[in-house]
Parts: sequence; C-alpha cells; structure tokens
Amino acid sequence: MHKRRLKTISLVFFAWLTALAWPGLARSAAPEDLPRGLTPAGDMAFMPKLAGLRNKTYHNQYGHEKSLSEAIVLRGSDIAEGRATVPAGGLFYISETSGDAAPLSRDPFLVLGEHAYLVDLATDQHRIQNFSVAQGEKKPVGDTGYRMWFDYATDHYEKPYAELALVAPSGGWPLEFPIASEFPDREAVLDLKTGEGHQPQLEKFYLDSEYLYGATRFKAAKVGFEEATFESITFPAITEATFAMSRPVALEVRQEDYRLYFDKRIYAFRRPDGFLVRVTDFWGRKVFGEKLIKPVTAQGYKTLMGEKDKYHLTLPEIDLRVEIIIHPSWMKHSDFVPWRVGKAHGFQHGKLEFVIYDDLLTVRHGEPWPLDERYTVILEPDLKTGMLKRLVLENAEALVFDNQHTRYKGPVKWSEVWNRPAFTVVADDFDGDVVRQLYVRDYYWMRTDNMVHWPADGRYNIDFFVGSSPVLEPILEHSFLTRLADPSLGTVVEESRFTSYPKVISDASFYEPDHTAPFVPRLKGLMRKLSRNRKGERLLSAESIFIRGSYVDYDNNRIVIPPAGLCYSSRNARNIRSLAGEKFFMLGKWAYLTSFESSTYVRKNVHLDAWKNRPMGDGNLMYWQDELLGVRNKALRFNKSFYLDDRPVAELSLMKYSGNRWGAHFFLAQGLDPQGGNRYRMPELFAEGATYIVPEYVGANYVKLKEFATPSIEAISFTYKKPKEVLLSPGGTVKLGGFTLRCTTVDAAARTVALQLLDEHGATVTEKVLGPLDAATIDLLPQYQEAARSVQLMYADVQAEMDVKNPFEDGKARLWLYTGIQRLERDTPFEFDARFVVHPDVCGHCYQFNEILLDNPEPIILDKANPVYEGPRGRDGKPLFRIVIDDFDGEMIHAWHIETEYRGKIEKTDNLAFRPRKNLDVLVGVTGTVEGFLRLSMLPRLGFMESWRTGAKAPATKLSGSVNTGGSAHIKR
Amino acid sequence: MDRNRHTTDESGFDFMANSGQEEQDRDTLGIAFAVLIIAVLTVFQYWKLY
Amino acid sequence: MSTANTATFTDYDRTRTSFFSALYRFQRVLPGLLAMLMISIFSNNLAGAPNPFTLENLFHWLDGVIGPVNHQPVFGILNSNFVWNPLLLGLIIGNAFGVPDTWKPGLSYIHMLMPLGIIMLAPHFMLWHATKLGVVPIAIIVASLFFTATATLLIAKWFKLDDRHGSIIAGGLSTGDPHVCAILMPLIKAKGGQVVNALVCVLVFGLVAMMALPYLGAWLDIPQSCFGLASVVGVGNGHQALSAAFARGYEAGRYALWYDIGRHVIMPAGFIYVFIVMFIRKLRYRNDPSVKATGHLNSFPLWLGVFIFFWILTTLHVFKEPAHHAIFNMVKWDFSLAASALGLSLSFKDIARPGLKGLAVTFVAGSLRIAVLLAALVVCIKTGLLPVAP
Repeated sequence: MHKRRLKTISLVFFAWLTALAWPGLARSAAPEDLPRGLTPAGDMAFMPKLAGLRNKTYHNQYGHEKSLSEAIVLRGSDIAEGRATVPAGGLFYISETSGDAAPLSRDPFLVLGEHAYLVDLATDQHRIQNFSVAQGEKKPVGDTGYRMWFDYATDHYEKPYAELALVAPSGGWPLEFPIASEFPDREAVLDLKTGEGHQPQLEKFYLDSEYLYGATRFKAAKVGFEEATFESITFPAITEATFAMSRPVALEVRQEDYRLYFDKRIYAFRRPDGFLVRVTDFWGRKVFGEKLIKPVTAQGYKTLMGEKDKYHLTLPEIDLRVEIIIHPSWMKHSDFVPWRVGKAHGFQHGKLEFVIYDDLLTVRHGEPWPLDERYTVILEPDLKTGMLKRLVLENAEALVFDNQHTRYKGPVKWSEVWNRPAFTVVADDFDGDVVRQLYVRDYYWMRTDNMVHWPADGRYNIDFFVGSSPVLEPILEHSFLTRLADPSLGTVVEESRFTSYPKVISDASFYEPDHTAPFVPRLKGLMRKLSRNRKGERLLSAESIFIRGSYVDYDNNRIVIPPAGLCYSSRNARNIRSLAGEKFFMLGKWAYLTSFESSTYVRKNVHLDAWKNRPMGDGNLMYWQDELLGVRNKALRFNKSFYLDDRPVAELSLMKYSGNRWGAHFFLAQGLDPQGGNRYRMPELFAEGATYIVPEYVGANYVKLKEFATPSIEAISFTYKKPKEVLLSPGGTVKLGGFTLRCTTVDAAARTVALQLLDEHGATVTEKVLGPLDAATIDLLPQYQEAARSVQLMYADVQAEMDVKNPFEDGKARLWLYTGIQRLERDTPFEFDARFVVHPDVCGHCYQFNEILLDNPEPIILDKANPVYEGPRGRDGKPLFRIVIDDFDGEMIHAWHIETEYRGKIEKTDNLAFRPRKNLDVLVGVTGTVEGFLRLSMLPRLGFMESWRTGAKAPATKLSGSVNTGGSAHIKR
Repeated sequence: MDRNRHTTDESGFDFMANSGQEEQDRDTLGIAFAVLIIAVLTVFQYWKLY
Repeated sequence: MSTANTATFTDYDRTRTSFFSALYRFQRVLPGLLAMLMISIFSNNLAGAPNPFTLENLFHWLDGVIGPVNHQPVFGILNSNFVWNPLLLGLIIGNAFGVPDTWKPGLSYIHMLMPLGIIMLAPHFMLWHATKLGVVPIAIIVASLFFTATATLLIAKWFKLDDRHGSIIAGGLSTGDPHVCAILMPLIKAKGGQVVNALVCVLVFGLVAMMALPYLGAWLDIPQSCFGLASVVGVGNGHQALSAAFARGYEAGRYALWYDIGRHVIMPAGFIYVFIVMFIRKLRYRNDPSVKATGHLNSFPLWLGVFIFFWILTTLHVFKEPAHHAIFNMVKWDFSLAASALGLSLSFKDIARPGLKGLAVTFVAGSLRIAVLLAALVVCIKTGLLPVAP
C-alpha cells in the first residue's frame, strides 16, 4: 500500500466530542450521535488480562478450531466538573470468535463468561443505496450502527483509488478494501497476452469498482480523492441468535423407540426423508412436539434461512432443542472428549445421535439483553459469511460517574448457579476534569490494576479496553504506533523463553522479526524528515533498521544473524516516483530518484499448496509452500481455505521480501454465481494494480494458477546531488556534469524538446527528442516506464528531463538536470560496502520504487571475541550504526545496544535486552515496513506494557500463553 | 521430660532431632539424590532429550 | 505402633547397615511422606501436579480481589511463596489437629530434603548474570550484603539475642531473601520457631522499609533508576522491593527488576558467610554456653561443599536454561515437602517463644543498612560513580 496510516487521533476525538455535545443520549439517538463504530480515546488504558474475561480455543462438532475471547470496552467518555459521562453505546461487552458461529455445527461462543453454544441465527441483509463518504470520515451507514471509514486515497496515472473499511458498531473491521471507479475492472486481465518470466510493464492499471467479500458487496459509483460515492453497499445482518448456555447431551438414536432425557422421552421414527422426532413427558402420554427432521451434516447450505428448519426440533416452552447428528462425540478434534483420535473406536458404525440442547437463550439485535434491560444486544455478523462474529452488549442509557456514583454494574450474566452482574466498572477520586482511580471488577470479584497509570496526574477520560480480544487491533489502528512509541509507557521488552531448540533459520528472506523484538521508535542518526516533491506534495521519508531471524547458538556460545537478517530499510510514506524530483534517504543522505527499471514477473501453471504445515509445532515457521515470483521479489502464500455455500474459497497473500505482507489478503472462489441463489460472492480472479492472479482451479488445499503476475524492480538510478531547473531556448546550452547540454528545438505545439549532449570537445555524444508530452503520454505518467523515458534524456551519469507540469514557458523548455547519477542494480553488492547487498523493492500496484533494503548475504556471527558489528558503511567509510553486544553469557543476551554517530556524538539506544533475550531481533525507526511488523504483534506488545502485575513473573506465566494474543498467532501472515 | 507433641512420638522418636551418624547418613542421601537429579536433568538436556 | 519402639537414636546406630538406613522402612515412613505430599500439592502449583485447589491459587485469587498495591500483589508483598505456603498449611494442620505419631518417621525426611534442596538451588545463581549491572552497583550490592550480615550479627550479640536466632535474621536480612532463613536452618542448627520468628522479623521490617523508603528517596531526590537499586538492596524480599520502587515511580520499578538479579545471584554468599562466621566462632568458643549456633557441627558440612561445587559449575555455565528451570522445579517440590514437615513440627508457642527481641535487632540493623546505603548512593550519584539512566 502506498500511504501509511499513522493518523492522528484527533479526528476520532472530534467525532465523539461532537457526539457528546448532544444531551440525553438514548436508544433513539441519531446514528451519528452514538459512538458505535468509533474507538476509545487514544490514551485509553489497555489491560489484556482479567480472570473473568475468558480467552480460549475450543472446537466445534466438526473439529474446526475457534478462538474465543471477551473484552469490556468503554469509549466516548468525558470528564467535566468532577463528573464522567458515558454516552449510550459507550460501555460495552464484546464476545468474539476467530471465525464465525453458525447454526447446526455446535459452534462455541462465550456469553458473559459462560461457555455457550450458538444453536440458531436469523439472518438478513442491509442494503444501502447512493452512499457518499468524505476522505478521513467515519460516516454512519444509515441506521445500521455501522460506519464507513474512508482511510485514504492515492493515485495511479493521477487517477484516484481508495482504501476504505466498513466498521462494525464495536469498532472492528476485517480488512480495508481497495476500490476505484476509473480503471479497468479485474476481468480485463483476461485480455492480456503475456509470456513467462520478466515481461514488459503492463500499461493498464486494474482496479475494480466492485469489491466482493462473501456476503458483503461494495459497488462504487465514483471514487475521488476527496469523496467516494457508492452505488450500493450490501452487507449481512443478524436479527436474532439463540445460544444453548450449557453443554448439549448426546444420546444414541434408537429407531422406532425412545431415549429418556431426564423426565422426557425422545422418540425417533424412521421416515423415507429423515426421522420423525417426538418429545413427550416421562410416561409418553403428553406430546410436547414432533417434527420430521433430517440428520445434520457439514454442508453449509443447510444454514440458509429457508433450509435450517429441516434440521432441528425446537420447543421453547420446554427449553429444548433436538438435532440429529452423526456421532459427534467421537469426531476428530472434538472437544467433547479430552483426547483426539483420527478414527475413534466405534466411528465406523456411523451412529446417529440426538444432540439435545437446553438452557436456550434467545437474543434479538437492537433489543434489551434478556437478563438486564439496561443493556442492548448488538449482533455483529462476519461480513464474509454473514454468521455471528461478535455479541456486543452496550449500555442503553448514558451513564454518569462522580464521587458519589463510583460504580456501574455490567450486564447480568446467565449462570448455572447465580445470575449476577458480569462486571463492575469503578471510577473514583474525581477531581475537576480528571479521574484518579479506575478499574473493572469481574464476576469473580477480581479486579484490574488502576487504569489511571499516573494517579497523581489523573486522566481526562475513563476510556479503556480490558481483555485480549483481537477486535482491539482495528480499534487501535489509529493510535497503536503512538502508543508503542510513547516513552512514558516505557519500552518494555519481554524476557525470552529459552529452550534446547532455538528457532534456527538458514535465511531470513521473507521472515519477519520476532514478535517480542524490542522497538526503538527514534534513534538519532536514522533520518525521518518531510520533504516536498516538484508538485508540492508532502512526502515523509524515513530510515529504519531491523534484524530478523537471529538466534543464539548456545552450543557454540555465539549469536547468529542469518543471511538477510540484518536489514537497513529506507522508504517514503508512499512509493517514490520519477519525474517529480522525489527524494529518499540513502544511509542518512538525501538521494534523488532519477529513473527506475521495472518489469512484470509472470508465472504460468503454478501449483500452490495450502500453507497448513508448521512442522515444528512451535511457531517455527517454514515457508516451503510459498511460490516465489522472481528471485527475492515476492512470494505467494496460500494462507487458508474455507467454504462458502460449499464452494472452496482460497485466501492468498503476497509476501514481500522484507517479511511484510502486501496489501490485504485476497480471496478467490469459483462458481459463486449470484444467479444461482448463492448468498455469497467472491471474485473468480484477482487483479489489483499490476498484480493479478488467474486461477484455473480453486480447491480446499490446493490452487492451480493459470497465470500469476506482479511487478519486479531490477534497478533504480539516483543521485545525491540536488536536481537543477533550467529554462532553455532553442540553441541554448547548459553545463551538465562533464557534458554540455544543448537545446536544438522547442516545439510547444507538438510538445517536444530536442536535446543534444556534447562532450568537452564539442562532439555530440547523444541526442534525443523528448516528448511528445501529449495527452496520451500524460495519461501514463508518471508510472509507465516507457512514457517516463520518453521525456528523459539519459547518458552516462547525467540526465535531463522535461518538467511534466509546465514544460514550456515563452518558447523555452523547462528542464530538470541531474548529475552524478548512480545505478543500483538489484541483488548486487553495495558500492561502498560489499558486505551488504542492495535490494530495491517495488510497489505491487504500480512498478514504482518503494523501498531500498540493504542486507547481509552472509551470516553474521557475534560472540565474546567479536561483540561489535558495523552496519553498512557509506561513502565516508563510516558505518551508519553499530551493533554492540555488552553482555552475553553464551546463552542469554543480557545487554546489547545499537549506536550511531550523529553530529560527532555517539547516540546509543537503551539496553535492548532489559530482560534476558535469546535473539537480537529489533525494530529501530518507523517506516511502513516496521509499522507492518508492529501491526502483527500489536496486541501482545501493548499488553506487555501495561500488565505490570505479571511483570516480575517468569515468561511462561505471562500473557504470551494466551491463545488469541500469543504473538498475534491468529493473524495469518 | 516434656515431650513435644508436634515432633516426638510416644517412643521418644523426635523427627526434628538430627545428629550423629543418622545426620551424616541423611546428608549423604541428600547429596546423592541432589547429584543424581542435577546430573540426570543436565545430561538429558545436553543429549537434547527435552 | 508396633515399630515405634525400635526408632530411638541409639537404635539407629545399632540397626544401621548403610546410609540408606536413614530412609527407614517404606511402610514406616509412608504416612508421613503422604502427609507431606498432600500438604505440598495443596499448597503450591507444582510441576506435574495440576491441582487447582492450592493455597497459591487461593492467594492469587485474593490478590485479584484486593487489588494490587503499587502494581504488586498483596500476598507477594507478604512473601507468600513455595516455601511459606506449605509451612503455613502445615502449621495450621499441626496446631489444629496435632501431628499423628505415625507421620513422624516420614516427616524426618526433612533432614534429607534440606541439603538436597539447597544443593539443587545452585544452578539458580549464575554470577555472570549480574555483570550487566556494572561495577559500582555490584560493589554496592556486595558491600551491603556483608555489611548487613556483620552488623546484624554484632547487633544481635549486643542485644544478647540467641545467636541462632540472630544468625537467621542476619542471613535473611542481608540477602534480602527470606528463603535464606530456611536455608540456614540446618547449618545454624536453629530451632524451627526461631526460623519462623526470624522470617516474621525480616518481613515486618521489609513492610515498614517498603513504606518508608519511597519517602526517603523522594526527600533525598534519588533518581528513579538509582532508587530501583536502593529498593532492591534496602528493602529486598522480592515484591516488597518492587512495591517500594513502583511507589516511587514506574522507572524505579523497572530498574528494581533490573538490579534485582545482582542481589539474587550473590545470595549464597550471604548464607555461606553467616555460616562460616558462626562456625568459626563456635569452634573458637566451644565451651561458651551462649554459643549455640551451628550446634554440634564439628566439621564443614560436606553438602555445603557440594553446593559450592555446583555453584562453581553454574558459574562456568554448565547448566543451560531449560535444565536450570527443570532443576528449579525439583527444588520447589523438595522445599514444599520439607516446609510442610517444618510447619507440622511447630506450635504457635514455638514461634512466639523467641519474643520480640529479634524484631528489635532487625529494625536496628535494617535501618542502619538503609542509612548507610542511602548515604553511599547519594555520594555515588553526586560523584557520578553510579550511572543514572536518562
């Protein structure tokens, strides 16, 4: 993606301040007045752990793993005159599942701390027509409670395309989707006729005006830089959900006979198309109900509203629901039994069993929580499947806390023993506009630490997030970097877990740094500056260093950084374009891009295996299923597959050499034809910018690709010297490096300029007619290489180019002159330091230069004898930084730091092993690359900072063990 | 003599008493077990058994 | 009990065949071992015994209910740990229900378990782990250890405190680790009551110091990072030091974690020093009835030598991390069993018997240490000897 999303939080702040300005917020408040879809304040407290908020992995009856989590969130609060106000919808409980919960599969779900099962859903669809949203805005989508967030727009060929997200009331969204209205749609790639291997740049830029995501569809009418208008937005809704609050009982079906279920008989009579199930009282006299039902199996279509009634007998008046299922208790990976077997004893009989649910609890979207009127139920579907993703219970009326009203009870939870409030929010010690005491107590009466971290200073709101729910990641999208970089929270580095088997990789290409790697947001000597290009656009350029894949080889008392492990990365907030005098940092010095050489790398008939295996079972990832696009360019990964209406859908991602993912995951499915009565739609092929995939076959664990292409950059040319602007009239000359540039003709009508380059003897070494800079050329600028070259004269180490915006003035040509140009070819030794290899990286959309990486082709070994390693050296022979191991005992790294020399002074980072570490992985400086790495480890990182209660404990007892946050393992790379 | 009901049984055996040959033997046993446990756990790790 | 009459002291020498005889017969020791086992597994979360109903978990729950004090758990501040939990449970059971005679032969295993556990502690103390702290902090920690131990022993003598009691206080106070009270027990030949009394003294002083030190630190304007060192050395006792440091500020708390390793790895030096001083004193004043510490020991205990040998191996980095943790899990088992026997052996009267004199000694010695420490810190900070984190 081009533009990075380090946004100020002020916008969000503003939005809810506006919301707060309205008095008497209640259930009937207008959508824009409710904080639904908005995030808590940027300085909110995040407490990852509270005993009453569960965080567990369970399996449904088909063995699918579901990671469940709960959280309590407060947003939109404000304190004034010793009173904190929380608008309706400000305080809410969330229960979330990793995939979704659908009927007929005994999907587990947490309901206020209870391990419940979702048994039924009533689904619907929201359809919104003609919806507009301005850039940066989070606009309510009708009265659905959702908001559409227009994150940013960028351009190709100066035409806009945008990234947006549909934000659920809780603040969560699954992905940001790209959409445009001025480019060819994805199907147009079928017209391409390309060969294999390195191919010329594609002229067209592909981006559809329709984004398909299962049950969700966005159809853009007009996407501009400032506003996006949608023709229609369709997304799923859930109107009603029924949970069984206790574990179901499974009883073998006795045909033409009954089974006793406590005081009831459950009969099963065989019929040609199922079983007639009859429930009677103990004596068989009173019939409570009977119905013909079919056995439940795994096909997805059975959850269709029109289908699902055929598979269960539900008798609400006696609190009972009966399904018939094939031997659920022995299913592989079932959590009905503590052990799991491939084929259990007795499975071969294929026995039919009743599954009997009771303690049924039905909740309706937008209506009060049945056990507590003060809370409203929000049912959030998975936008892809339309099935239940989150259960949200939010306060129906505005709340006030002050020194007299210090506590507010959460919703009453269902319990086998005692229905009681699931939590209590306590805010105390108000003092003017601040609060000094804030915590949450759960239903075990256990509490969090004070969420006012500096009680002496107090806090200006009572916003918080307690629990480790992954929904926090989108919620924190705005503020996570600021939070991570906030020195007042301390740079806490988690202690490593030392094992006999360190993670060892032979080459760190495509790997990301360890999730517990320390993050140093700022180090003098690494540049981070704003500049403007020729058009006056602001560009943020930054440098970073990261180390990945390093480990301690304790058998040999040494630290190893594998090849490609030590990386220097420099990039701008978006890709770096030619013809605009755009600059970037090259080892601390400004460098001006003059031109680039890109191609399309095409592969045909590719077999792609699903990325199922993590062979070591210890998170020691191996990527042999990845299919590479060129050498050290990008890798295609088949992350996972799932079924929508029984069609396999493949979820793929494109990994960059740096270990970062390119864009969002993409989805491919064949045959989800909207005419066929399908609930879902997914694209049959993928095309975004210049990257496209045409599948031949999409299967559950294998995808065959007919064609697969993405840009690759072979070289860039740049100079350290600032380009000069000149106006040349015909016959005019100017010095250009060791040459003389002469303008022979200027033809403003034909929009061409003829140039001659003369050597010191006056002999012509080269000549070229630049242009024509006509509409056809301008339409392809600045990204299309051939168009760009047509207005550039390149020779040896000099270059002259036309000013694209104002090429002519009073019969003169406006030219930009570059001297001292050097060419950086991919995968070649760095000119000043052969220990490093240069690696320009390309934007996957547009062939532009995106990032310059320098990394080590050989392993770096550090030990007691060699405790210092110098980073890449520049022209002056001085290294940009030094890695210094201060204290290493052969197994644990106790102290090490990175130092730079900045303005004659040695600048050191803090000790990067404040707690003993087993690797040197680190992230220094903030670039898009580092931001991507941080995003993948956001939850545990933010959590470690604030979990002081576990601070003194051994690493094993820390948060990392938690299923949903262990290194953000739930986020597929 | 006043018997400590917590430590001494009817026969006069005091489990907190520790002297003479018995003490030496107990120390020896302690040393033997300690050396054994440490050696086994260390060697097994060197052999990468855990 | 039919076999009880054979179990006298003199009988042992007569019936002994080898050192294994100290294990007695299995049937005889089984009830006592089971009692220790049960108390242990209901006290601590021990490796391989996944019992959720432990005292440790109960305290953890209560910590959650009470809420943290300066970001530290209350029972942590009260020093609940794998030694004191079973001791407490043993104490309660022994005092409430008495100790059946059948348990006693088994409970005598405590004398084997103590050296066994202490030797297995050796891999815990890797001296080089402290080198990251730098020379001056290490010097301060080491000097404080020996100064406190010596001063406490002298003050105890001045107060005419039983020398065993004084030694235990000296060990616990100087190392900032209440475990040392238990470790010194078999070396000093102290009575169980003295050990627990000394422990209470050290913890009560720790609580007072924990509350006072942040004010002293603020008054003397000691920077946060240095205050971390002050808490670790001046208060000690794990969570008490952390709580004192966090009371001053977040950075101080962080640095208390950082400096704690220095105090931790030289802990054995503390108890070995106290033992050697008292042992030499005993050898020198053999006929003085007031010299009771180290009891009837006539030679340097072999097992302490074995401990030192393993400590040297640790320093040579023979024990890598996974093995160190595995061995420490065994230590937990060992001390849990031993502490349950110790708890059963004590009546509340035994603990009260040594009186409040020990508390006075602890307060005088501890306060003296804090005074000297703060003076030294101020000097080191002013002279720039002690690095101050930015």
